[in-house]
Amino acid sequence: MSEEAPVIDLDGLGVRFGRHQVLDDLRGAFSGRAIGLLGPNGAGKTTLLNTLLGFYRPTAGTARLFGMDITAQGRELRRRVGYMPERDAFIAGISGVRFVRLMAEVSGLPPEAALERAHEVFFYVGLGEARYRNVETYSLGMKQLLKLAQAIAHGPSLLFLDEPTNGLDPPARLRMLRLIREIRDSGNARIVVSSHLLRDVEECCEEVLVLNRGRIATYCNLAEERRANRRFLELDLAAEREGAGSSFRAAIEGLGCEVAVVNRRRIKAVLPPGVEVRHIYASAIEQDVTIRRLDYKRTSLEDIFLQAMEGDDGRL
Amino acid sequence: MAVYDHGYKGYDGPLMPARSRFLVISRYGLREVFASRLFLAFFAFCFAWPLVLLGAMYLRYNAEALTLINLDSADLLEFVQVNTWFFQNLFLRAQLYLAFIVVLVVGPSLVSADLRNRAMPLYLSRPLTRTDYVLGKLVVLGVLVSAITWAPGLLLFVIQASLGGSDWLLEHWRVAPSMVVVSVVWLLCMSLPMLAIAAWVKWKPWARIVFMGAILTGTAFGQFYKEFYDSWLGSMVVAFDVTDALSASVFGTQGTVQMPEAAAWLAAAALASLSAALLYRRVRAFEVVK
Repeated sequence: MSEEAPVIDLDGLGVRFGRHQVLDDLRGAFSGRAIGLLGPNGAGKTTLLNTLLGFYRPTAGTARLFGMDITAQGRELRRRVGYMPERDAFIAGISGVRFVRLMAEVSGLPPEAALERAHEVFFYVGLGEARYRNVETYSLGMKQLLKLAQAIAHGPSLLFLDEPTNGLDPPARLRMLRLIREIRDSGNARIVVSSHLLRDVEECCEEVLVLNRGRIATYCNLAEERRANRRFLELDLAAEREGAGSSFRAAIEGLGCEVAVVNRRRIKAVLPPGVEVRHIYASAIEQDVTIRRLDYKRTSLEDIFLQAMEGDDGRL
Repeated sequence: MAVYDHGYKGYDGPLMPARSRFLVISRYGLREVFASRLFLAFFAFCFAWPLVLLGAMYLRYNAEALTLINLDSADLLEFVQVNTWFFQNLFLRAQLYLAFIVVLVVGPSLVSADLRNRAMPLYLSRPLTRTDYVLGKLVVLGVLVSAITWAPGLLLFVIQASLGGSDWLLEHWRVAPSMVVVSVVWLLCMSLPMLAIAAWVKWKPWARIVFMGAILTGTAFGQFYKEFYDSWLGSMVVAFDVTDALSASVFGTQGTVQMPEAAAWLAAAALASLSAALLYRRVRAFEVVK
């Protein structure tokens, strides 16, 4: 498994169930630590995850995870993958720790190591006290954490999380998101999160792939987007003297900023590299202008998502 | 990563061989089966009859013990003839009835709960194939059935061979492999349909009812067909007829059912194949709705 290869490499991937084309010619390479899969219901997010896991056979193209083909090297890949399904999934009649141990052993861990890991992940996800309880007695929130525990028990390099915050109350949701971020930041596993909740994806993902009707509607690198947003400013001004506003605009244009006038009191500016907000404030002082409000542009994931839904050609 | 160190860490330790991974499922399955004391008691009871037969074999060759319990050795020699019939009918047939109960009780709990609780994606997202899963479950039934059929049968055979001498062994050598073959064929013909039904019905009590219903319906239909058309073809759907014919074929004895050997083998193969196909259709991570 090549760690330098993209986490997910889609090569014309298509999946068809009967006459229904669920995924159509998906292409692109994604290398982020946490990749979000977004899309409305029925967009193909879960089908994409299931295809990458080898549950469905591609009807066209292929995909590679860490450079390994999902069809030809499926078994080897699944050894390195952890999967948290969307819906309740457990083995009835056994305790939580036994369930997670079984899952770790099926992944190849020797019995002693599997038992040790099972205890560890239970404490890690915060279910340590409930590990000897029968899994059927767990609450919905506990079952979500249990699913996460079994997904990480064998220490996978890639973690697929399908709607990880489904049915969780606000504190449990925050806990789940914190765990996802911790796993992401540990650097020991890449994460693919499928969700229809934009906020969840925004909070824990660096890259986002928006699917619509089985095609890629848009791709967005959130980290780069956030960095770019820091260069777009919106300013509300109050001039101390006549003509001060114009001279201020001229001054910041002199710094290399692109400036657009919204109205007499409001302007928008794009900072060039090397120019910081403090330079804008310094110009304002020089020109006798008061900056009453300064805002960064905030293109939310919701904006990106809605824009993608308006017109998608299915290509990156 | 120690318990107190609450941080995520990968695993880079040793791994078990992939080829034997299905045995994990078998091991856990067996442990769950024996967690029930009721089943444990029943399973222990399954060894009662082999022990009785072992006692009879011992007494047959021990005049002192016979004298102690005031039994005439001539009567016992007449009554207990340790031959092919002894192993085929007195031992194996009785044990297969008990094995049927074992399959009926254990079979549904192996598969239906996994499917009802959507555990299949969890298994199949790991380096485990559908064949591994089915094999793992089948091994559970295989171990249980073997433990009460051919395994004690072979033990009885070895003891009898040591008591009866080489002449007896030369005359009855075919008994040992026959017990194994009949038990394994029977296991496949009963376990695969049971697992397939459990996979489709997903509810243990219903799976048992459907399985019993299928056997009884087949028997009733087969008997009716045999009587009405005066043809052996009806036997092909009667589980007990097929077992009898197969057993006679393997042991090389005269069967009680008028049915060609090939037909019995064909019926068994068809039943096992159909059941395996049905089971495979169900053992999937997700149902595909086309």
